[in-house]
Amino acid sequence: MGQSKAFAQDNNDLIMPAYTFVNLTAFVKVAKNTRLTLSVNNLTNTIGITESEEGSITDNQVNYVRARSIAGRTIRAGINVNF
Amino acid sequence: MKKKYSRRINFTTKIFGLLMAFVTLSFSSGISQTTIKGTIVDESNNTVPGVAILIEGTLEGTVSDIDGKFSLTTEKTGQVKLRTSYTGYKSAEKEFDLSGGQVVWDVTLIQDVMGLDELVVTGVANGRSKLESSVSITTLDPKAIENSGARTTAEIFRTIPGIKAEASAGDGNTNITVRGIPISSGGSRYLQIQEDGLPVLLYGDIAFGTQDQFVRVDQTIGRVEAIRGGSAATMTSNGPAGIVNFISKTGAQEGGMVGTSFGLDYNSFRTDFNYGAPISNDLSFNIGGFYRQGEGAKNANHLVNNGGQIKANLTKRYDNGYVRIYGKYLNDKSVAYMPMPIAVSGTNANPTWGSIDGFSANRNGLQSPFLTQSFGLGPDGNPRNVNVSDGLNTESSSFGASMKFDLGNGWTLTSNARMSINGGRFVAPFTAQVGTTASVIDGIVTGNGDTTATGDPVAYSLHKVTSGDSIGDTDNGLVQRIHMFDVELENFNNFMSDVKVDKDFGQVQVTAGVFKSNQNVEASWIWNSYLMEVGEDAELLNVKANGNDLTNNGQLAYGVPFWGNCCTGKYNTNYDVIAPYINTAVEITEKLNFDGGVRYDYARVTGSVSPSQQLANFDVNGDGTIDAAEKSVSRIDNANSTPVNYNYGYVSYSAGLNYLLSESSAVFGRYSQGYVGNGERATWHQAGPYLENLAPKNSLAQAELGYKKRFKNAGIFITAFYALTEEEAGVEATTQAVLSNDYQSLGVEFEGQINLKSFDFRGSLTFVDASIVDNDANVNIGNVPRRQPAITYSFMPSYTFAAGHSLTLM
Repeated sequence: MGQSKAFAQDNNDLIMPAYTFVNLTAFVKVAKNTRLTLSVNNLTNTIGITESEEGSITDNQVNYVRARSIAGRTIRAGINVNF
Repeated sequence: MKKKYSRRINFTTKIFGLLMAFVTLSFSSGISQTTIKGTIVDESNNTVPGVAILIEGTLEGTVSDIDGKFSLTTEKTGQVKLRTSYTGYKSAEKEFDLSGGQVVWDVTLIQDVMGLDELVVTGVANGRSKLESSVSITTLDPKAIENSGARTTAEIFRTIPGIKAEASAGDGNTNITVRGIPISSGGSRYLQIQEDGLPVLLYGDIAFGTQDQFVRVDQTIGRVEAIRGGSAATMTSNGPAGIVNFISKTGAQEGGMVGTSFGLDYNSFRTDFNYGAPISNDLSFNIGGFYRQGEGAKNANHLVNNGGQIKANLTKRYDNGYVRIYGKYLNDKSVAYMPMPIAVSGTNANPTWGSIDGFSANRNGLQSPFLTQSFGLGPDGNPRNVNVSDGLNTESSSFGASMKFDLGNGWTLTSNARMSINGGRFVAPFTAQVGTTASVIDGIVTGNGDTTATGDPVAYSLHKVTSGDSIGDTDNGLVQRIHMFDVELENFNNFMSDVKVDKDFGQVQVTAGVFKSNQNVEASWIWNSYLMEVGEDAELLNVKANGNDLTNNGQLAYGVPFWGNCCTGKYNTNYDVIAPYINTAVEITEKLNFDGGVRYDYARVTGSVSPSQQLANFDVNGDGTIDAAEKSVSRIDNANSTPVNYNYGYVSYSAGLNYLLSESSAVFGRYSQGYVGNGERATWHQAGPYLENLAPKNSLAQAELGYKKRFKNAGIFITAFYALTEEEAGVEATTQAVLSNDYQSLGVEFEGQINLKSFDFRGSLTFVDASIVDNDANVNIGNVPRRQPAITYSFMPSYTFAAGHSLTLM
């Protein structure tokens, strides 16, 4: 899942890079109606910028901007009983 | 004695009743019982177990066994229609004339992996199948939602083609858009979220009160329908770009689940349950919900997610229709992630984005165990304290009823109405300024008048609030000025109702209806400023200069002086919308369908907005002294409110043609002109020029051309689209800018699904070429709208092992 690059603001200066990330969901059937689940979100712990308040940076130096990234890798486990 | 006596009476009555029931039962079954038997196979002649077979209009039914065989005994006589239901397969139906004895019905099911033959109920006047409807629509069943691994409502949206959800805010407050139609000022102005066919909120872009905040996806959801563009413009108010409808299970077939899950590498615990079943031949119920606690996907190191919901419905079916009552209680606190410091190096055209030392871009948020309270003057001017861990706190109790009846002679009456008592809070830290310690604090010192003869800031000292220790600098040499977005959602109650009548004239069907809604927006913004480190578990900081404190326990101000104390204020407005509509569907030939609709929206907006006032040397905490943060205090100035009083109205229309190329493929075209009323974004609580230049609506014109095809075990759906958005105005909270751009977008969305024996693949890809075509300031014309990528995609391969295990990637 992912998207190509986009501009941070309408001035079309600073680029938010393209990103791809992968989720994995596994179900293991342990009994007729019972499944164990394992789900990994953002397997590769990708940083994917979805928005930035700043539309431009000063080139060739470290800038501190205010932005949001998708959440990093999280792993969940669970058990589901269907009846 | 008395008690005993009455008990005996009860017992006798019960026995008698049971006897009578038995006699009646055996008597009636004695005259007319029919058994319907058969076997269900697929196109390859393999038997299919687990297929539901139901007598239409009743809850009488059964499920095929392991050998695909079923047997159903009924006391019904005369004409009945039997229907099969099984995910991924086209429903088979057949009419029988029952008069006792035995009837055989052997069924061959046809695969329909994308559900192109399923009836569509969202955003269309008449329930037709996807293949026969001239709209782009995606259905997600619980399995697809589960396999996507979505943690939040917003993350589910990412699997729907054409929809772009910036799922980075947490459980709500997500910016959502469709087909390159812009995210103007936050939220989802053009896309509507519905629950069981009615809008969750009347406007999708209310600041700090977005639709997704009021919806939680759990096991009570039977399926999600997402319609893009098309007839949405005339079938709902304020959702011309599309509708996402979360449809609840109703217990027509017995089934339930209990599930528990927890984070292995983060603190999160959640329990889900759902159970639904028929109670009798014509009555069924479903009840379910969840409860969860935890820290959220980014390390908050304290409890920031806490709450749950319970939903239930009861359906009574009649030969000619049904009545359903439903309710929901949601009380949830969830973390809200706001823009936060991130490092960018390189160049604008080729930047490198990454984490700041000690502050991960994707595993940390601004929530810290050292910033737990937001204290200030509340909506009525009295001091009040808020827990920052309340985050996005939604409280919603809703109750509704829907019904559908076939009145005979081709007349059908459908109605759905719901009232919701909504409230809560939105409290989240936002980085207003970040930089090296000197660059931020020099400004604070200068702003306080602590300057040298040459105008430079005087020497200052920096202290951690918890220990009081003086520090030369922070660990990574950075500090940030936090603005606490603290908004009390005092009253977001609403009422929604949609009543319509259909008349079937044979080749022509006419639907006429009225949509009515009343929405309150009563929200008090009480914002504060703090000085804080940048990092995980960031601590608040105090500054001293010239022997004076410039902060009090890390608090810089009651208010946001860095933004000119813009944002303390109150909305207390009411939006009353009535929208009659009419829709016609014409079967021009067996293959060619036309449908067209017109809708008139009229809104009456009343209420008031109250601005901020600055109080000099106001003792907020009542300790008898004026501390640094109390020198200039923002308070809502209820005595100087401005009335809000305006109307708006508009006419929307949409027309489409659908042509069946074969039994399994079709093309369609459509043109729509829709509008979105500007809710509270048309006003600004500080009144002033914003309110004088009221711009209560935004226009959206859309054209689309689509192709859909069902293969033996696959399906595709391709739609080319064009959209022209003309925005009058909207206020963006974080910049207080009035945004008024016109945009155009051109693109194609692809959706496909293939279902082989054990391998399943679902994918979507959207290409958008969008640009800004006009605005008042005449700037950025021809540029790509902010945050709009050319391509968004999701691919979801899934493999099921013989033992029943499965593995899905997305």
